[in-house]
Amino acid sequence: MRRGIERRQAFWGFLFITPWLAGFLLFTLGPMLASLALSFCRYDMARLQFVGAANYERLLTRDPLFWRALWNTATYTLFAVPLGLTGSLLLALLLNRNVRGLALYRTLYYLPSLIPAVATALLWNWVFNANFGILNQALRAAGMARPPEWLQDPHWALPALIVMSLWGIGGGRMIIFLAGLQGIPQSYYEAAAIDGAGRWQKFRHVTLPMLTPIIFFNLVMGIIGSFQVFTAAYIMTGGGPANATLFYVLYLFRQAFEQLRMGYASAMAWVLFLILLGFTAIQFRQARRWVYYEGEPQ
Amino acid sequence: MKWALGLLFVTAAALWLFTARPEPVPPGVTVLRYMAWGNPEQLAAEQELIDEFTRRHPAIRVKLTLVPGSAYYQKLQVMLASGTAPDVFRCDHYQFPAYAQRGYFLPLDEFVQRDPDFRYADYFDQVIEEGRHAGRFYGVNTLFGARVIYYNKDLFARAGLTDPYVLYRRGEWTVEQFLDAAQRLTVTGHNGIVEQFGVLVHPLEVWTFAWGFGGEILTPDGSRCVADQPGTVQALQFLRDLRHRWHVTPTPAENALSAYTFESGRIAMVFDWAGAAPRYRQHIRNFDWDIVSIPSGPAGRHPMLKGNQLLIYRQTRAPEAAWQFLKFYVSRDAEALLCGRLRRAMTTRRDLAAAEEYLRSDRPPRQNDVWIDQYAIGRPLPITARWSDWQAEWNRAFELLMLNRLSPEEMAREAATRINAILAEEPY
Repeated sequence: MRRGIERRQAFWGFLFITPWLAGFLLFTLGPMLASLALSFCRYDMARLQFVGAANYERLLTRDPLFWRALWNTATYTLFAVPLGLTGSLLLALLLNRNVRGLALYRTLYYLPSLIPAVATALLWNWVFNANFGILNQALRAAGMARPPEWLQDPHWALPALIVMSLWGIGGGRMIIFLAGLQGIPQSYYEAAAIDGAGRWQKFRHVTLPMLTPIIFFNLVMGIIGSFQVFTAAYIMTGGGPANATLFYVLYLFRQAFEQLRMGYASAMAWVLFLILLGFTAIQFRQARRWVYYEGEPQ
Repeated sequence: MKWALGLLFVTAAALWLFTARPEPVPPGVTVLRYMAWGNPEQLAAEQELIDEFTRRHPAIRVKLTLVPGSAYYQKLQVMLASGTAPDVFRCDHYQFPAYAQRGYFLPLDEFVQRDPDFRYADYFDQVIEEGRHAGRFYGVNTLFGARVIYYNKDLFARAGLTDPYVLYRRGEWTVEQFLDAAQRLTVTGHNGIVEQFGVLVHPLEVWTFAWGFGGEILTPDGSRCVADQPGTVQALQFLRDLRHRWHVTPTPAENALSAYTFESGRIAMVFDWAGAAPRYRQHIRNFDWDIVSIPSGPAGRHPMLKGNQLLIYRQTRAPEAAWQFLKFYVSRDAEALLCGRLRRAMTTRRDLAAAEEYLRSDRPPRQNDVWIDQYAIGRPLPITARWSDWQAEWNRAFELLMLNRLSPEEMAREAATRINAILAEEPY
């Protein structure tokens, strides 16, 4: 009798996840395997030819733009992720205080992240406008005679996009930090206060350690997301000037959909996957040293 | 269980009820799928032509799909690869050789041979030549054009300058005159910000100037980059000087977000394709404007010529109807509308080029004889199937030149080395 109920429940369970399972097989796992196979081929959507590891060989040894795109993306990640994490954490700390109108502040700070990425890119295009942009107007007012030409200057275009990435600090990452902060038992702070801890010491010895699983999660997701940065460069700079903002995924997109080198682009996708896998594995290894999970035996 | 089946049934019934089904096609009528890109004005023009075609060929129904330009080739490529491409579609010549090489197009030679209404001789040579690939004729040319200068007549008159069209007709429209005009038409305000620039130059102009200074960028067969020859370097120098020495054209920073446009009256001269005329007609209300050929350099005057091809998909089920449509599209009547009344392109037909209905216009551009001259002096771009392979390298180097980060010699040398390395390599 009981086995019959279990079997029926299992049947309905599987039936209900069938759409997801079919979607996963058809639209995720299938394309992934196809792209793996394609990465060993030359495929321009008309002719398919097996070329072995030639795509990988060219990518790693004879394509300066691959390295340029990787360098740009790594530089972007190096700055955008720590700055973004710090910004989100600071904002979460501010919004975790018991002040009047807290709900309003939280809504206001979250709002920018609701704006579609394309609209945000267009908005920042205006902010960075060398002549009329609000940023350069402010810099001129502050006495800078020749402020940077931001998106039109190969030296400033990448920093400009890093600055722009901070637009998202009030989004999902901040919410996760906020949830983490609210999960820290008040008794820890009270105990620290009895021990004579000040505000900084409470943050340093209570808040930060308790938040390390959240920081770790946001760091891993941040690096993965940052390596896939695309929209800002696609809309605002087109990868320029002089390839200064040619990000990895933008270059991959161009290879696939402008040059129709589907095999080559697939190889790029798998190289990116391996890079991210490597980074994530390293982070998990390092995490043992600094991430504190409550309830885990020390 | 019963309620789940009931829900499934209701959902299926709703889907069936609300799913759009194709209109029934009367017997004997062929449906022709035609795909192109363009703005709403282009859509209106295409629809007008289709309506006229349908009136003349009641047994053929044309179904137009207009795709935004930014997504057009992705969609077309996917349709071609999956065997679902429309019967007829438009293709910019930049893509034409690469697609022709993949065998997507139906050759038209046999249609031409047996159709007395279509004669190659009715069209300008460059127009027919652009539709050929590997010795076969694939595409009729539509939206064909040359790169010309659109200029603000009022600004020239106000500055006391001779109208460039007058200079052109006298044979005095040279790069020196062009530069002089650009300098005198650049106006800086009291705050140091330029109120009006003499000219707006697009990176594409490098071809025109290279040819005008006696240089080349590619060999005629497109197999090698030869940009490091003296004429080309001189042209690069001239273009860079326009921005950095004479400051008669805005930098990308100055012109970000289209701060200076011809339509706003803040640019006195702009290089553009023939197809820009309808846009200028629509937006320019408060000044008089017209067109003139590009200025001549030490090695002559050589404007760029390029069109879009109208092609038949190799796997079409209606080749005959598709051919009728193509033929109509480049007929005299169709071009009188598209190239004459709407000015969306230069006419490709010799008979129309000489006709009053094409040359006369009560709205700018009025100096339409300039278009006809382009056939005599213009040169096609050496576009091959490898065109897009090396463009990124050229653009990067050219960008560095125009940012004053590379000298013309360095730029030309670097671009030639890198591009030749790409062209020497097998496509990957």
